[in-house]
Amino acid sequence: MFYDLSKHKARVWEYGGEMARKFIGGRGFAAKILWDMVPRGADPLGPENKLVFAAGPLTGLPGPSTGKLVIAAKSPLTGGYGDGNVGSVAAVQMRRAGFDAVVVEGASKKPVYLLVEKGKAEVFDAEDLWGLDTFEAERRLKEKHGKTAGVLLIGPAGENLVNYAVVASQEGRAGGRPGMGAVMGSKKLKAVVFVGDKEPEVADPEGLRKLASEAREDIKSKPMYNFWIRQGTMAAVQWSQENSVLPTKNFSEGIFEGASAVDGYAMEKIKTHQRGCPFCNMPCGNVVEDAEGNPAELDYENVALLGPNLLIGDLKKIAVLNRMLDKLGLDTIGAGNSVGFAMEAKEKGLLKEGPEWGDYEAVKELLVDIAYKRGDLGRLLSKGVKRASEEIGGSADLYAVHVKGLEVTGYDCHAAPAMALAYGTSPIGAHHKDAWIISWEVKTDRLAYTREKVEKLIWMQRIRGGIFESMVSCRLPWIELGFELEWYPKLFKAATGVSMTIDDMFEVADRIYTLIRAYWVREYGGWSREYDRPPRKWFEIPLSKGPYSGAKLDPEKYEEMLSWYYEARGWDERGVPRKSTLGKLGLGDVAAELEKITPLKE
Amino acid sequence: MILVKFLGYYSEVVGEREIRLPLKEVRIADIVSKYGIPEEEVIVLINGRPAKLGYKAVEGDVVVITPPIGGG
Repeated sequence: MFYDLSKHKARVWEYGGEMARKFIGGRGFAAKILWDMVPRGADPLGPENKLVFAAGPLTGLPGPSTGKLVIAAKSPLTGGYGDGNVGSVAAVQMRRAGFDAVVVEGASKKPVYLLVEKGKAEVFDAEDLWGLDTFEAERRLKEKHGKTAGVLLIGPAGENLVNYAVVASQEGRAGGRPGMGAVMGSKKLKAVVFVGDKEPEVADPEGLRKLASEAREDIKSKPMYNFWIRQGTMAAVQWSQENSVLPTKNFSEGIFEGASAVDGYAMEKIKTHQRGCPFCNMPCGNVVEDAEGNPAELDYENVALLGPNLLIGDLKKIAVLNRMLDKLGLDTIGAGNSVGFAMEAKEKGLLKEGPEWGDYEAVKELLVDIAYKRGDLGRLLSKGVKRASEEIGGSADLYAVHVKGLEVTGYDCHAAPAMALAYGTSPIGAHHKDAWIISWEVKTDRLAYTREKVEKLIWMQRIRGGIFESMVSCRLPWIELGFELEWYPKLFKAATGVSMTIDDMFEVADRIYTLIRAYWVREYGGWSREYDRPPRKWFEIPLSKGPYSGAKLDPEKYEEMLSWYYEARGWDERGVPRKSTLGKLGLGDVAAELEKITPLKE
Repeated sequence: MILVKFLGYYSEVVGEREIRLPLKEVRIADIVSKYGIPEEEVIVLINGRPAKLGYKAVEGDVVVITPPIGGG
């Protein structure tokens, strides 16, 4: 369903089997829609940008953690392809309302929300919701449309067009780090409410139900299951600390003295209950009581970026910050990273005013300033660390920890070259979603720059960023508990009636990655390898603490790995897809367009 | 004395988050097998640097035995 907010018109597009086979769904659909339908050079915060909510063939059906949705648009933060993923009832309800994707185009003059219900879409006035935090607004929408309605919405950060505003749901879920919330705000769209009543069409409903039931049992039987239920992603705090990758002091160090006060065991002591996505039997939404007595849903990323990264060592206070950002609809990673940048810039004398390391109260105020673009520093940081560092000038970019303008997530890579490459080549800018390779890197040869690491990275991208982001279904059963990949072709066959092997899915993944790369090249008017490099800091300022003291990345060796990456992807030495690659992937039309922007190598 | 930390679900397998071995030296493989930890997946650090099962830890070392994690 396409809904045009400028014209107040809906149109339903029955995408054909070819699109399904070539792109599967989710991120694949999003990339295709943005390439085909958003004009080159469109203002990310203008009416020409499209906000895509895309499910995949497994979404919302019985199956392992299938309640997930991709949200995509041209990014105001990076100027390139942006997407995120949120686990929400909205994923299920969108499909039950009869749609595999909903695309919002144009812009409304006044605040509205979109109701997608039983095959139809309707716009409602949202003046009385505009300005409300995400928790309160969702509450009111559910009062009106039912407790089981799926709601995706923005908070003040999205309304104020902060570059890393996210789309929120269910008081603690969020997605769309590259400013998907700002795109929504630019369309004056406060929320999308999904209400469905029809089970999505399934090729083999009995077969799928049986598979889903067996999958549930299998997941519960995994050796790591119990510990996962206890700590979820918070177990990564201790792991990162022991492996010197816990981002500390704006990614200056990999270890934090107070790590044991903010790790999974500390979380367990203050945990009150658990939340999960629809159809998930390994929920990771650990809710704790924060320092103000409120429930806050904690994740590793929130804690790493708002805690050790800022030298804040009180978990209950970190939880307050996390909850506040959830209500404001602001990315905890982007915000934590931006504040860390400000702390370091202030320390180095590049900013006259700024918070001191570890100053919780100052951070609390600053985060609100960012969400409302209030004050010089709030306004500056609302742009993201890349633009903020460019505005400050001088050596400020040395402290800006991002790739392509998207802030780095919870893993310091001074001593993790493959992970640095993962960040460098992630399709939306720095993110670990596509490839988290540190376990493998540590186990094999930690400090080496090898071809093997590149191959492993691409394999991970094909699965994490390809398969799971197009099915759309959560990658955590597979990557955290060892739920075998072989289940997915079976689930896919039962859902769609179509047979696809893992290799077939890899081909789709490769197509998606190259199409997304083509999108960046088109919007940037060309490409340079420098955009695929990790932050300067990791090359120039070594770690000074812990077992890897002195470690930093080697620029020449990194370039060598990047070249191997390009080779493996069929891109040229600039990082531009080769004509032959585009042809092989059935993207000949893309090649024709791209050739107008920059010459393509064979 | 050798300090051995068990991360993640290994703490449940062993029944402890950490143990102090009153030894002058110990082979990592012996610790792993004594506590029934699955060898194939295990990641070992000695004083924060990667080690293999055949390595020996000595008096004063800190050993970390951890399962791989998925990184979220």
